[in-house]
Amino acid sequence: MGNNVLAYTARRLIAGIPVVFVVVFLTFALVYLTPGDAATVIAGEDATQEQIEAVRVSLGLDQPFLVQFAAWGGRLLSGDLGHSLVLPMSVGDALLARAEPTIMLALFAQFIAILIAIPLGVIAGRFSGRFFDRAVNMFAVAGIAVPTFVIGIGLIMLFSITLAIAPTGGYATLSEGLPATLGSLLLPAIALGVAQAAFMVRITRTSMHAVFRSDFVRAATMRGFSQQRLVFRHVIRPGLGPTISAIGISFATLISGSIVVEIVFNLPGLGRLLITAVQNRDIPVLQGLLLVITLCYVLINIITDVIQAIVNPRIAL
Amino acid sequence: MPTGIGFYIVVFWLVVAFLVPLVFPIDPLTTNPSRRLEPPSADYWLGTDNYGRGILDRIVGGAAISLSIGAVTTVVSAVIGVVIGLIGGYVKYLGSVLMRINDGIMAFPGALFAIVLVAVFGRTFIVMVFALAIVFIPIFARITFGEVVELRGASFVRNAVSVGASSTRIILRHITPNLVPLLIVQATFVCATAITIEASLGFIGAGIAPPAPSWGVMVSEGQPYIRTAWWTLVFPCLAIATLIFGMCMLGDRVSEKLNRPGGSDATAV
Repeated sequence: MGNNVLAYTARRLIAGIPVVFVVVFLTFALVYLTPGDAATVIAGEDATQEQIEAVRVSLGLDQPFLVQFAAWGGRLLSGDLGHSLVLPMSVGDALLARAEPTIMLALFAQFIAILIAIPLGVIAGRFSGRFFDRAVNMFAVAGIAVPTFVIGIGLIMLFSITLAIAPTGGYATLSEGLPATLGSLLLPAIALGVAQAAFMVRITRTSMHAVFRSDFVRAATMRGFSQQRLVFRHVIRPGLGPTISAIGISFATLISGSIVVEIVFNLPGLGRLLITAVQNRDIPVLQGLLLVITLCYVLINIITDVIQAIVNPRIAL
Repeated sequence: MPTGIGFYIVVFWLVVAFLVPLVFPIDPLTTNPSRRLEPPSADYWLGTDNYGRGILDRIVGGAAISLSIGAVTTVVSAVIGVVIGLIGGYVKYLGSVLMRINDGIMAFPGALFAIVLVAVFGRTFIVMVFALAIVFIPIFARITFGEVVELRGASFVRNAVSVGASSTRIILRHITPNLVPLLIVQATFVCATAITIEASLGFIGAGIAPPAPSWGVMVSEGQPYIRTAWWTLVFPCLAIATLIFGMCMLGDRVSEKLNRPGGSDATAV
Protein backbone atom coordinates (compact mmCIF):
# COMPACT_ATOMS: atom_id res chain seq x y z
CA MET A 1 0.00 0.00 0.00
CA GLY A 2 1.57 3.25 -1.10
CA ASN A 3 1.40 6.66 0.51
CA ASN A 4 -1.23 7.68 -2.00
CA VAL A 5 -3.59 5.02 -0.75
CA LEU A 6 -2.97 6.00 2.89
CA ALA A 7 -3.63 9.65 2.11
CA TYR A 8 -6.73 8.65 0.21
CA THR A 9 -7.96 6.59 3.16
CA ALA A 10 -7.48 9.58 5.44
CA ARG A 11 -9.36 11.83 3.00
CA ARG A 12 -12.25 9.37 2.80
CA LEU A 13 -12.47 9.08 6.58
CA ILE A 14 -12.52 12.87 6.97
CA ALA A 15 -15.17 13.18 4.26
CA GLY A 16 -17.24 10.67 6.24
CA ILE A 17 -17.42 12.90 9.32
CA PRO A 18 -20.21 15.25 8.13
CA VAL A 19 -22.21 12.24 6.90
CA VAL A 20 -21.91 10.58 10.31
CA PHE A 21 -22.91 13.82 12.02
CA VAL A 22 -26.03 14.20 9.84
CA VAL A 23 -26.95 10.55 10.44
CA VAL A 24 -26.59 10.89 14.23
CA PHE A 25 -28.50 14.17 14.26
CA LEU A 26 -31.38 12.87 12.12
CA THR A 27 -31.67 9.69 14.19
CA PHE A 28 -32.01 11.79 17.29
CA ALA A 29 -34.37 14.34 15.73
CA LEU A 30 -36.61 11.52 14.46
CA VAL A 31 -37.27 10.34 17.98
CA TYR A 32 -37.56 13.86 19.35
CA LEU A 33 -40.34 14.45 16.81
CA THR A 34 -42.16 11.23 17.74
CA PRO A 35 -45.81 11.90 18.35
CA GLY A 36 -46.81 10.88 21.85
CA ASP A 37 -44.65 11.25 24.89
CA ALA A 38 -41.95 8.78 25.93
CA ALA A 39 -42.43 9.80 29.59
CA THR A 40 -46.11 8.82 29.46
CA VAL A 41 -45.20 5.45 27.98
CA ILE A 42 -42.46 4.72 30.53
CA ALA A 43 -44.43 5.92 33.56
CA GLY A 44 -47.11 3.36 32.74
CA GLU A 45 -50.82 3.58 32.09
CA ASP A 46 -52.11 4.52 35.53
CA ALA A 47 -49.41 7.04 36.46
CA THR A 48 -50.48 10.38 37.90
CA GLN A 49 -49.54 13.67 36.24
CA GLU A 50 -46.83 14.23 38.89
CA GLN A 51 -45.29 10.79 38.27
CA ILE A 52 -45.17 11.44 34.52
CA GLU A 53 -43.57 14.81 35.20
CA ALA A 54 -40.98 13.15 37.48
CA VAL A 55 -40.11 10.61 34.80
CA ARG A 56 -39.82 13.42 32.27
CA VAL A 57 -37.34 15.31 34.48
CA SER A 58 -35.36 12.16 35.28
CA LEU A 59 -35.01 11.38 31.56
CA GLY A 60 -34.06 14.98 30.81
CA LEU A 61 -37.04 15.32 28.46
CA ASP A 62 -37.87 18.75 29.93
CA GLN A 63 -34.58 20.13 28.59
CA PRO A 64 -34.29 22.10 25.31
CA PHE A 65 -33.67 20.18 22.08
CA LEU A 66 -29.96 20.95 21.76
CA VAL A 67 -29.24 20.11 25.42
CA GLN A 68 -30.98 16.76 24.98
CA PHE A 69 -29.06 16.16 21.76
CA ALA A 70 -25.73 16.94 23.44
CA ALA A 71 -26.53 14.63 26.36
CA TRP A 72 -27.61 11.83 24.01
CA GLY A 73 -24.55 12.33 21.79
CA GLY A 74 -22.30 12.23 24.86
CA ARG A 75 -23.76 8.89 25.99
CA LEU A 76 -23.44 7.63 22.44
CA LEU A 77 -19.69 8.36 22.42
CA SER A 78 -19.30 6.13 25.47
CA GLY A 79 -21.19 3.39 23.64
CA ASP A 80 -24.47 3.82 25.54
CA LEU A 81 -27.47 3.49 23.20
CA GLY A 82 -30.06 3.71 25.98
CA HIS A 83 -32.43 1.15 27.42
CA SER A 84 -35.21 -0.76 25.69
CA LEU A 85 -38.74 0.26 26.69
CA VAL A 86 -39.93 -3.35 26.50
CA LEU A 87 -37.02 -5.80 26.77
CA PRO A 88 -35.26 -6.09 30.15
CA MET A 89 -31.90 -5.06 28.72
CA SER A 90 -29.95 -2.19 27.19
CA VAL A 91 -30.26 -1.51 23.46
CA GLY A 92 -26.60 -2.43 22.98
CA ASP A 93 -27.13 -5.86 24.60
CA ALA A 94 -30.31 -6.43 22.57
CA LEU A 95 -28.39 -5.72 19.34
CA LEU A 96 -25.49 -7.99 20.31
CA ALA A 97 -27.83 -10.83 21.26
CA ARG A 98 -29.47 -10.74 17.83
CA ALA A 99 -26.52 -9.86 15.61
CA GLU A 100 -25.16 -13.34 14.90
CA PRO A 101 -27.85 -14.73 12.54
CA THR A 102 -28.01 -11.46 10.61
CA ILE A 103 -24.26 -11.17 10.14
CA MET A 104 -23.92 -14.83 9.15
CA LEU A 105 -26.83 -14.51 6.71
CA ALA A 106 -25.46 -11.31 5.18
CA LEU A 107 -21.95 -12.74 4.71
CA PHE A 108 -23.22 -16.04 3.31
CA ALA A 109 -25.61 -14.27 0.92
CA GLN A 110 -22.92 -11.87 -0.28
CA PHE A 111 -20.57 -14.83 -0.83
CA ILE A 112 -23.21 -16.61 -2.94
CA ALA A 113 -23.92 -13.39 -4.82
CA ILE A 114 -20.26 -12.85 -5.71
CA LEU A 115 -19.95 -16.49 -6.74
CA ILE A 116 -22.87 -16.08 -9.16
CA ALA A 117 -22.29 -12.52 -10.35
CA ILE A 118 -18.63 -12.41 -11.31
CA PRO A 119 -18.51 -15.46 -13.66
CA LEU A 120 -21.86 -14.57 -15.25
CA GLY A 121 -20.82 -10.94 -15.62
CA VAL A 122 -17.47 -11.79 -17.20
CA ILE A 123 -18.96 -14.28 -19.66
CA ALA A 124 -21.85 -11.97 -20.56
CA GLY A 125 -19.39 -9.13 -21.09
CA ARG A 126 -17.24 -11.35 -23.34
CA PHE A 127 -20.21 -12.38 -25.50
CA SER A 128 -22.18 -9.15 -25.31
CA GLY A 129 -25.27 -8.97 -27.49
CA ARG A 130 -25.44 -12.73 -27.92
CA PHE A 131 -27.99 -15.11 -26.46
CA PHE A 132 -26.08 -15.78 -23.24
CA ASP A 133 -25.71 -12.08 -22.57
CA ARG A 134 -29.41 -11.46 -23.08
CA ALA A 135 -30.35 -14.39 -20.86
CA VAL A 136 -28.09 -13.03 -18.13
CA ASN A 137 -29.67 -9.61 -18.51
CA MET A 138 -33.17 -11.05 -18.16
CA PHE A 139 -32.06 -12.91 -15.04
CA ALA A 140 -30.64 -9.67 -13.68
CA VAL A 141 -33.77 -7.60 -14.31
CA ALA A 142 -35.94 -10.35 -12.82
CA GLY A 143 -33.65 -10.68 -9.80
CA ILE A 144 -33.73 -6.95 -9.19
CA ALA A 145 -37.48 -6.72 -9.78
CA VAL A 146 -38.82 -9.65 -7.80
CA PRO A 147 -38.78 -8.73 -4.10
CA THR A 148 -36.65 -10.94 -1.84
CA PHE A 149 -39.62 -12.18 0.15
CA VAL A 150 -41.26 -13.47 -3.04
CA ILE A 151 -38.03 -15.31 -3.96
CA GLY A 152 -37.92 -16.70 -0.42
CA ILE A 153 -41.53 -17.93 -0.56
CA GLY A 154 -40.79 -19.51 -3.95
CA LEU A 155 -37.75 -21.35 -2.55
CA ILE A 156 -39.74 -22.61 0.45
CA MET A 157 -42.51 -23.88 -1.84
CA LEU A 158 -40.04 -25.65 -4.11
CA PHE A 159 -37.43 -27.05 -1.73
CA SER A 160 -39.25 -27.36 1.60
CA ILE A 161 -42.74 -28.34 0.49
CA THR A 162 -42.69 -29.88 -2.97
CA LEU A 163 -39.29 -31.58 -2.73
CA ALA A 164 -39.15 -31.64 1.10
CA ILE A 165 -35.35 -31.50 1.21
CA ALA A 166 -34.88 -28.35 3.30
CA PRO A 167 -36.38 -26.94 6.50
CA THR A 168 -38.94 -24.11 6.14
CA GLY A 169 -36.99 -21.97 8.58
CA GLY A 170 -35.12 -21.79 11.87
CA TYR A 171 -31.52 -21.10 12.76
CA ALA A 172 -28.70 -23.25 14.15
CA THR A 173 -26.29 -21.06 16.14
CA LEU A 174 -22.54 -21.08 15.58
CA SER A 175 -22.13 -22.98 18.85
CA GLU A 176 -23.74 -25.93 17.06
CA GLY A 177 -20.94 -25.80 14.50
CA LEU A 178 -20.43 -23.89 11.28
CA PRO A 179 -21.82 -26.61 8.96
CA ALA A 180 -25.11 -26.66 10.90
CA THR A 181 -25.34 -22.87 10.72
CA LEU A 182 -24.64 -22.74 7.01
CA GLY A 183 -27.12 -25.58 6.45
CA SER A 184 -29.87 -23.71 8.25
CA LEU A 185 -29.05 -20.55 6.28
CA LEU A 186 -28.76 -22.12 2.84
CA LEU A 187 -32.23 -21.24 1.49
CA PRO A 188 -32.33 -17.78 3.11
CA ALA A 189 -28.86 -17.00 1.76
CA ILE A 190 -29.83 -18.12 -1.74
CA ALA A 191 -33.00 -15.97 -1.62
CA LEU A 192 -30.98 -12.95 -0.60
CA GLY A 193 -27.93 -13.81 -2.72
CA VAL A 194 -29.91 -14.01 -5.97
CA ALA A 195 -31.21 -10.47 -5.50
CA GLN A 196 -27.71 -9.23 -4.66
CA ALA A 197 -26.18 -11.06 -7.62
CA ALA A 198 -28.70 -9.52 -10.00
CA PHE A 199 -27.51 -6.05 -9.09
CA MET A 200 -23.80 -6.93 -9.28
CA VAL A 201 -24.00 -8.87 -12.52
CA ARG A 202 -25.25 -5.90 -14.53
CA ILE A 203 -22.43 -3.70 -13.33
CA THR A 204 -19.79 -6.40 -13.87
CA ARG A 205 -21.13 -7.12 -17.35
CA THR A 206 -21.03 -3.45 -18.42
CA SER A 207 -17.54 -2.96 -17.08
CA MET A 208 -16.17 -6.22 -18.60
CA HIS A 209 -17.77 -5.34 -21.90
CA ALA A 210 -15.82 -2.07 -21.96
CA VAL A 211 -12.55 -3.77 -21.00
CA PHE A 212 -12.93 -6.51 -23.64
CA ARG A 213 -13.21 -3.77 -26.25
CA SER A 214 -10.29 -1.67 -25.01
CA ASP A 215 -7.12 -1.23 -27.02
CA PHE A 216 -4.82 -3.06 -24.65
CA VAL A 217 -6.98 -6.19 -24.74
CA ARG A 218 -7.16 -6.04 -28.55
CA ALA A 219 -3.38 -5.68 -28.59
CA ALA A 220 -3.03 -8.69 -26.30
CA THR A 221 -5.38 -10.69 -28.54
CA MET A 222 -3.32 -9.81 -31.60
CA ARG A 223 -0.17 -10.97 -29.88
CA GLY A 224 -1.84 -14.36 -29.78
CA PHE A 225 -2.43 -14.85 -26.07
CA SER A 226 -4.85 -17.62 -25.14
CA GLN A 227 -8.37 -16.73 -24.10
CA GLN A 228 -7.60 -17.95 -20.63
CA ARG A 229 -4.55 -15.78 -20.19
CA LEU A 230 -6.40 -12.84 -21.70
CA VAL A 231 -9.30 -13.04 -19.29
CA PHE A 232 -7.34 -13.79 -16.14
CA ARG A 233 -4.31 -11.57 -16.73
CA HIS A 234 -5.71 -8.61 -18.64
CA VAL A 235 -9.44 -8.26 -18.19
CA ILE A 236 -10.49 -9.28 -14.70
CA ARG A 237 -8.43 -6.84 -12.66
CA PRO A 238 -9.23 -3.60 -14.50
CA GLY A 239 -12.81 -4.73 -15.00
CA LEU A 240 -13.52 -5.48 -11.35
CA GLY A 241 -13.37 -1.90 -10.03
CA PRO A 242 -17.08 -1.17 -10.58
CA THR A 243 -17.95 -4.63 -9.23
CA ILE A 244 -16.12 -3.88 -6.00
CA SER A 245 -18.00 -0.62 -5.55
CA ALA A 246 -21.24 -2.44 -6.43
CA ILE A 247 -20.49 -4.93 -3.64
CA GLY A 248 -20.09 -1.99 -1.26
CA ILE A 249 -23.24 -0.20 -2.40
CA SER A 250 -25.21 -3.44 -2.29
CA PHE A 251 -24.64 -3.73 1.47
CA ALA A 252 -27.60 -1.35 1.86
CA THR A 253 -29.92 -3.70 -0.01
CA LEU A 254 -28.26 -6.61 1.78
CA ILE A 255 -29.27 -5.17 5.16
CA SER A 256 -32.83 -4.35 4.11
CA GLY A 257 -32.98 -7.72 2.38
CA SER A 258 -31.82 -9.65 5.47
CA ILE A 259 -34.56 -8.05 7.56
CA VAL A 260 -37.19 -9.33 5.14
CA VAL A 261 -35.58 -12.75 4.64
CA GLU A 262 -35.32 -13.26 8.40
CA ILE A 263 -39.08 -12.82 8.62
CA VAL A 264 -39.73 -15.24 5.72
CA PHE A 265 -37.54 -17.97 7.24
CA ASN A 266 -38.22 -17.13 10.88
CA LEU A 267 -34.61 -16.42 11.88
CA PRO A 268 -33.96 -14.83 15.29
CA GLY A 269 -31.85 -11.93 14.00
CA LEU A 270 -31.87 -8.14 13.92
CA GLY A 271 -34.83 -8.15 11.53
CA ARG A 272 -36.95 -9.99 14.10
CA LEU A 273 -35.76 -7.51 16.74
CA LEU A 274 -36.75 -4.64 14.45
CA ILE A 275 -40.25 -5.98 13.84
CA THR A 276 -40.83 -6.58 17.55
CA ALA A 277 -39.67 -3.02 18.21
CA VAL A 278 -41.99 -1.71 15.46
CA GLN A 279 -44.97 -3.53 16.97
CA ASN A 280 -44.21 -2.30 20.51
CA ARG A 281 -43.11 1.16 19.37
CA ASP A 282 -39.87 0.50 21.27
CA ILE A 283 -38.26 3.74 20.12
CA PRO A 284 -34.78 3.36 21.71
CA VAL A 285 -34.34 -0.02 19.98
CA LEU A 286 -35.49 1.42 16.63
CA GLN A 287 -33.09 4.32 17.10
CA GLY A 288 -30.20 2.00 18.01
CA LEU A 289 -30.84 -0.32 15.07
CA LEU A 290 -31.09 2.53 12.58
CA LEU A 291 -27.93 4.19 13.90
CA VAL A 292 -25.72 1.10 14.23
CA ILE A 293 -26.70 -0.38 10.86
CA THR A 294 -26.29 2.94 9.05
CA LEU A 295 -22.88 3.62 10.60
CA CYS A 296 -21.73 0.10 9.65
CA TYR A 297 -22.90 0.82 6.13
CA VAL A 298 -21.00 4.13 5.99
CA LEU A 299 -17.85 2.35 7.22
CA ILE A 300 -18.27 -0.50 4.72
CA ASN A 301 -18.53 2.02 1.89
CA ILE A 302 -15.31 3.72 2.98
CA ILE A 303 -13.56 0.33 3.19
CA THR A 304 -14.84 -0.56 -0.28
CA ASP A 305 -13.49 2.68 -1.70
CA VAL A 306 -10.10 1.98 -0.17
CA ILE A 307 -10.04 -1.59 -1.53
CA GLN A 308 -10.89 -0.17 -4.92
CA ALA A 309 -8.02 2.28 -4.63
CA ILE A 310 -5.67 -0.62 -3.86
CA VAL A 311 -6.89 -2.63 -6.86
CA ASN A 312 -6.85 0.38 -9.14
CA PRO A 313 -4.26 2.87 -7.81
CA ARG A 314 -5.29 5.58 -10.30
CA ILE A 315 -8.37 6.29 -8.12
CA ALA A 316 -6.26 7.43 -5.17
CA LEU A 317 -4.48 10.13 -7.16
CA MET B 1 -42.37 -4.75 -29.77
CA PRO B 2 -41.67 -1.07 -30.33
CA THR B 3 -42.33 -0.12 -26.70
CA GLY B 4 -41.30 -3.40 -25.11
CA ILE B 5 -43.07 -5.91 -22.91
CA GLY B 6 -42.61 -3.76 -19.81
CA PHE B 7 -44.92 -1.08 -21.20
CA TYR B 8 -47.75 -3.58 -21.77
CA ILE B 9 -47.37 -5.10 -18.31
CA VAL B 10 -47.58 -1.68 -16.66
CA VAL B 11 -50.62 -0.72 -18.78
CA PHE B 12 -52.27 -4.03 -17.85
CA TRP B 13 -51.87 -3.28 -14.15
CA LEU B 14 -53.07 0.31 -14.56
CA VAL B 15 -56.24 -1.01 -16.23
CA VAL B 16 -56.72 -3.61 -13.49
CA ALA B 17 -56.21 -1.08 -10.74
CA PHE B 18 -58.24 1.85 -12.02
CA LEU B 19 -60.66 0.70 -14.77
CA VAL B 20 -61.72 -2.79 -13.68
CA PRO B 21 -63.26 -1.57 -10.39
CA LEU B 22 -65.44 0.85 -12.41
CA VAL B 23 -66.96 -1.98 -14.45
CA PHE B 24 -66.99 -4.91 -11.99
CA PRO B 25 -67.77 -4.31 -8.33
CA ILE B 26 -64.85 -5.41 -6.17
CA ASP B 27 -64.97 -6.04 -2.46
CA PRO B 28 -61.54 -6.52 -0.90
CA LEU B 29 -62.63 -5.97 2.73
CA THR B 30 -65.81 -7.88 3.65
CA THR B 31 -64.95 -11.08 5.52
CA ASN B 32 -67.00 -14.24 5.06
CA PRO B 33 -66.09 -16.85 7.71
CA SER B 34 -68.16 -19.62 6.07
CA ARG B 35 -66.03 -19.49 2.94
CA ARG B 36 -62.50 -19.43 4.33
CA LEU B 37 -59.51 -20.72 2.30
CA GLU B 38 -61.55 -21.96 -0.67
CA PRO B 39 -59.56 -22.98 -3.74
CA PRO B 40 -60.15 -21.14 -7.03
CA SER B 41 -63.72 -21.71 -8.28
CA ALA B 42 -66.39 -20.10 -10.46
CA ASP B 43 -67.44 -17.90 -7.52
CA TYR B 44 -63.93 -16.93 -6.49
CA TRP B 45 -61.65 -17.12 -9.52
CA LEU B 46 -58.47 -17.00 -7.45
CA GLY B 47 -59.85 -18.57 -4.26
CA THR B 48 -60.41 -16.99 -0.86
CA ASP B 49 -58.10 -16.12 2.02
CA ASN B 50 -58.14 -16.95 5.72
CA TYR B 51 -60.99 -14.46 6.33
CA GLY B 52 -63.08 -15.60 3.36
CA ARG B 53 -62.22 -12.56 1.25
CA GLY B 54 -61.77 -13.06 -2.50
CA ILE B 55 -58.09 -13.12 -3.48
CA LEU B 56 -58.92 -11.58 -6.86
CA ASP B 57 -60.79 -8.67 -5.24
CA ARG B 58 -57.88 -8.06 -2.93
CA ILE B 59 -55.34 -8.22 -5.74
CA VAL B 60 -57.31 -5.62 -7.70
CA GLY B 61 -57.60 -3.44 -4.60
CA GLY B 62 -53.90 -3.95 -3.84
CA ALA B 63 -52.94 -2.92 -7.37
CA ALA B 64 -54.52 0.48 -6.76
CA ILE B 65 -52.63 0.84 -3.47
CA SER B 66 -49.29 -0.21 -4.99
CA LEU B 67 -49.58 1.99 -8.06
CA SER B 68 -50.82 4.99 -6.07
CA ILE B 69 -47.96 4.63 -3.58
CA GLY B 70 -45.49 4.38 -6.46
CA ALA B 71 -46.90 7.32 -8.41
CA VAL B 72 -47.50 9.72 -5.51
CA THR B 73 -44.10 8.98 -3.95
CA THR B 74 -42.34 9.51 -7.26
CA VAL B 75 -44.07 12.82 -8.01
CA VAL B 76 -43.61 14.19 -4.49
CA SER B 77 -39.96 13.21 -4.20
CA ALA B 78 -39.14 14.36 -7.76
CA VAL B 79 -40.68 17.81 -7.25
CA ILE B 80 -39.06 18.41 -3.86
CA GLY B 81 -35.76 16.83 -4.90
CA VAL B 82 -35.51 18.90 -8.08
CA VAL B 83 -36.25 22.14 -6.21
CA ILE B 84 -33.57 21.32 -3.62
CA GLY B 85 -31.10 20.35 -6.36
CA LEU B 86 -31.79 23.56 -8.32
CA ILE B 87 -31.35 25.75 -5.25
CA GLY B 88 -28.22 23.88 -4.20
CA GLY B 89 -26.74 23.99 -7.67
CA TYR B 90 -27.58 27.63 -8.30
CA VAL B 91 -26.98 29.27 -4.94
CA LYS B 92 -23.35 28.50 -4.34
CA TYR B 93 -23.11 29.00 -0.58
CA LEU B 94 -26.13 26.72 0.01
CA GLY B 95 -24.93 23.99 -2.32
CA SER B 96 -22.36 22.29 -0.14
CA VAL B 97 -24.53 22.45 2.99
CA LEU B 98 -27.57 20.97 1.20
CA MET B 99 -25.48 18.24 -0.40
CA ARG B 100 -23.89 17.25 2.94
CA ILE B 101 -27.39 16.86 4.44
CA ASN B 102 -28.34 14.95 1.30
CA ASP B 103 -25.38 12.57 1.71
CA GLY B 104 -26.39 12.01 5.33
CA ILE B 105 -29.94 11.01 4.39
CA MET B 106 -28.68 8.80 1.56
CA ALA B 107 -26.40 7.02 4.02
CA PHE B 108 -29.46 5.41 5.67
CA PRO B 109 -30.38 2.11 4.00
CA GLY B 110 -33.67 3.15 2.34
CA ALA B 111 -36.00 0.36 3.43
CA LEU B 112 -34.74 0.42 7.03
CA PHE B 113 -35.21 4.19 7.21
CA ALA B 114 -38.73 3.86 5.83
CA ILE B 115 -39.57 1.13 8.38
CA VAL B 116 -38.46 3.30 11.28
CA LEU B 117 -40.26 6.41 9.94
CA VAL B 118 -43.50 4.48 9.47
CA ALA B 119 -43.16 2.86 12.91
CA VAL B 120 -42.65 6.23 14.55
CA PHE B 121 -45.31 8.25 12.72
CA GLY B 122 -48.05 5.67 12.19
CA ARG B 123 -48.91 2.99 9.65
CA THR B 124 -51.06 4.96 7.18
CA PHE B 125 -50.95 5.67 3.43
CA ILE B 126 -49.87 9.30 3.96
CA VAL B 127 -47.04 8.38 6.34
CA MET B 128 -45.89 5.67 3.93
CA VAL B 129 -45.66 8.18 1.08
CA PHE B 130 -43.91 10.68 3.33
CA ALA B 131 -41.40 8.06 4.53
CA LEU B 132 -40.66 6.85 0.99
CA ALA B 133 -40.38 10.45 -0.26
CA ILE B 134 -37.72 11.19 2.37
CA VAL B 135 -35.79 8.17 1.09
CA PHE B 136 -36.02 9.23 -2.56
CA ILE B 137 -35.79 13.05 -2.39
CA PRO B 138 -31.98 12.95 -2.02
CA ILE B 139 -31.66 10.83 -5.18
CA PHE B 140 -33.46 13.44 -7.27
CA ALA B 141 -31.66 16.28 -5.48
CA ARG B 142 -28.26 14.71 -6.15
CA ILE B 143 -28.94 14.19 -9.87
CA THR B 144 -30.36 17.68 -10.33
CA PHE B 145 -27.50 19.25 -8.41
CA GLY B 146 -24.88 17.47 -10.51
CA GLU B 147 -26.55 18.43 -13.77
CA VAL B 148 -27.06 22.07 -12.74
CA VAL B 149 -23.43 22.46 -11.71
CA GLU B 150 -22.41 21.05 -15.08
CA LEU B 151 -24.86 23.19 -17.07
CA ARG B 152 -23.98 26.34 -15.15
CA GLY B 153 -20.63 26.34 -16.95
CA ALA B 154 -22.12 25.45 -20.36
CA SER B 155 -21.79 28.08 -23.05
CA PHE B 156 -25.52 28.47 -23.68
CA VAL B 157 -26.11 29.31 -20.03
CA ARG B 158 -23.17 31.72 -19.94
CA ASN B 159 -24.57 33.36 -23.09
CA ALA B 160 -27.97 33.76 -21.44
CA VAL B 161 -26.29 35.35 -18.42
CA SER B 162 -24.32 37.74 -20.63
CA VAL B 163 -27.44 38.99 -22.41
CA GLY B 164 -28.96 39.74 -19.03
CA ALA B 165 -31.44 36.88 -18.50
CA SER B 166 -32.71 36.67 -14.93
CA SER B 167 -31.82 33.70 -12.73
CA THR B 168 -35.45 32.56 -12.71
CA ARG B 169 -35.55 32.59 -16.49
CA ILE B 170 -32.27 30.70 -16.76
CA ILE B 171 -33.45 28.05 -14.32
CA LEU B 172 -36.87 27.59 -15.91
CA ARG B 173 -36.06 28.04 -19.59
CA HIS B 174 -32.48 26.88 -19.96
CA ILE B 175 -31.66 24.42 -17.20
CA THR B 176 -34.86 22.58 -16.29
CA PRO B 177 -35.67 21.27 -19.81
CA ASN B 178 -32.25 19.58 -19.90
CA LEU B 179 -33.02 17.72 -16.72
CA VAL B 180 -36.16 16.05 -18.05
CA PRO B 181 -34.71 12.89 -19.70
CA LEU B 182 -32.57 12.18 -16.64
CA LEU B 183 -35.53 12.60 -14.33
CA ILE B 184 -37.82 10.35 -16.40
CA VAL B 185 -35.32 7.49 -16.22
CA GLN B 186 -34.87 7.97 -12.50
CA ALA B 187 -38.62 8.25 -11.91
CA THR B 188 -39.42 4.83 -13.37
CA PHE B 189 -36.93 3.18 -11.02
CA VAL B 190 -37.94 5.20 -8.00
CA CYS B 191 -41.53 4.16 -8.70
CA ALA B 192 -40.58 0.46 -8.95
CA THR B 193 -38.44 0.65 -5.81
CA ALA B 194 -41.16 2.46 -3.86
CA ILE B 195 -43.63 -0.30 -4.76
CA THR B 196 -41.12 -2.97 -3.75
CA ILE B 197 -40.44 -1.32 -0.40
CA GLU B 198 -44.16 -0.86 0.29
CA ALA B 199 -44.82 -4.55 -0.46
CA SER B 200 -41.84 -5.67 1.64
CA LEU B 201 -42.91 -3.51 4.58
CA GLY B 202 -46.43 -4.91 4.29
CA PHE B 203 -45.00 -8.42 4.29
CA ILE B 204 -42.87 -7.99 7.42
CA GLY B 205 -45.74 -6.29 9.24
CA ALA B 206 -44.30 -2.78 9.23
CA GLY B 207 -46.28 -1.25 6.37
CA ILE B 208 -49.79 0.12 5.92
CA ALA B 209 -51.93 -1.47 8.62
CA PRO B 210 -54.34 -4.30 7.68
CA PRO B 211 -57.07 -4.84 6.57
CA ALA B 212 -56.01 -2.64 3.62
CA PRO B 213 -55.37 -5.06 0.72
CA SER B 214 -51.62 -4.42 0.36
CA TRP B 215 -49.99 -7.21 -1.67
CA GLY B 216 -47.23 -7.65 0.90
CA VAL B 217 -49.79 -8.07 3.68
CA MET B 218 -51.63 -10.68 1.57
CA VAL B 219 -48.47 -12.79 1.19
CA SER B 220 -47.74 -12.49 4.89
CA GLU B 221 -51.30 -13.55 5.81
CA GLY B 222 -51.06 -16.47 3.40
CA GLN B 223 -47.71 -17.81 4.61
CA PRO B 224 -49.13 -19.90 7.49
CA TYR B 225 -51.23 -21.76 4.89
CA ILE B 226 -48.31 -22.39 2.53
CA ARG B 227 -48.88 -26.18 2.70
CA THR B 228 -52.68 -26.18 2.47
CA ALA B 229 -53.78 -23.08 0.50
CA TRP B 230 -51.13 -22.18 -2.08
CA TRP B 231 -53.48 -19.72 -3.86
CA THR B 232 -53.37 -17.30 -0.92
CA LEU B 233 -49.65 -16.80 -1.59
CA VAL B 234 -48.94 -17.57 -5.20
CA PHE B 235 -51.32 -15.04 -6.80
CA PRO B 236 -50.23 -12.01 -4.76
CA CYS B 237 -46.57 -13.03 -5.29
CA LEU B 238 -47.18 -13.19 -9.05
CA ALA B 239 -48.88 -9.80 -8.97
CA ILE B 240 -45.93 -8.14 -7.22
CA ALA B 241 -43.34 -9.89 -9.37
CA THR B 242 -45.00 -9.04 -12.70
CA LEU B 243 -45.73 -5.40 -11.88
CA ILE B 244 -42.21 -4.63 -10.71
CA PHE B 245 -40.61 -6.69 -13.48
CA GLY B 246 -42.69 -4.72 -16.00
CA MET B 247 -41.65 -1.42 -14.50
CA CYS B 248 -37.96 -2.36 -14.53
CA MET B 249 -38.18 -3.48 -18.17
CA LEU B 250 -39.99 -0.25 -19.05
CA GLY B 251 -37.36 1.76 -17.21
CA ASP B 252 -34.55 -0.04 -19.03
CA ARG B 253 -36.22 0.63 -22.36
CA VAL B 254 -36.75 4.31 -21.54
CA SER B 255 -33.14 4.77 -20.45
CA GLU B 256 -31.97 3.02 -23.62
CA LYS B 257 -34.17 5.27 -25.79
CA LEU B 258 -33.00 8.42 -24.04
CA ASN B 259 -29.47 7.06 -24.03
CA ARG B 260 -28.92 7.91 -20.42
CA PRO B 261 -27.16 5.78 -17.84
CA GLY B 262 -29.06 4.76 -14.76
CA GLY B 263 -31.03 1.65 -15.49
CA SER B 264 -32.05 -0.85 -12.87
CA ASP B 265 -28.75 -0.24 -11.12
CA ALA B 266 -30.40 2.81 -9.62
CA THR B 267 -32.67 0.63 -7.53
CA ALA B 268 -30.00 -0.04 -4.94
CA VAL B 269 -31.25 2.15 -2.13
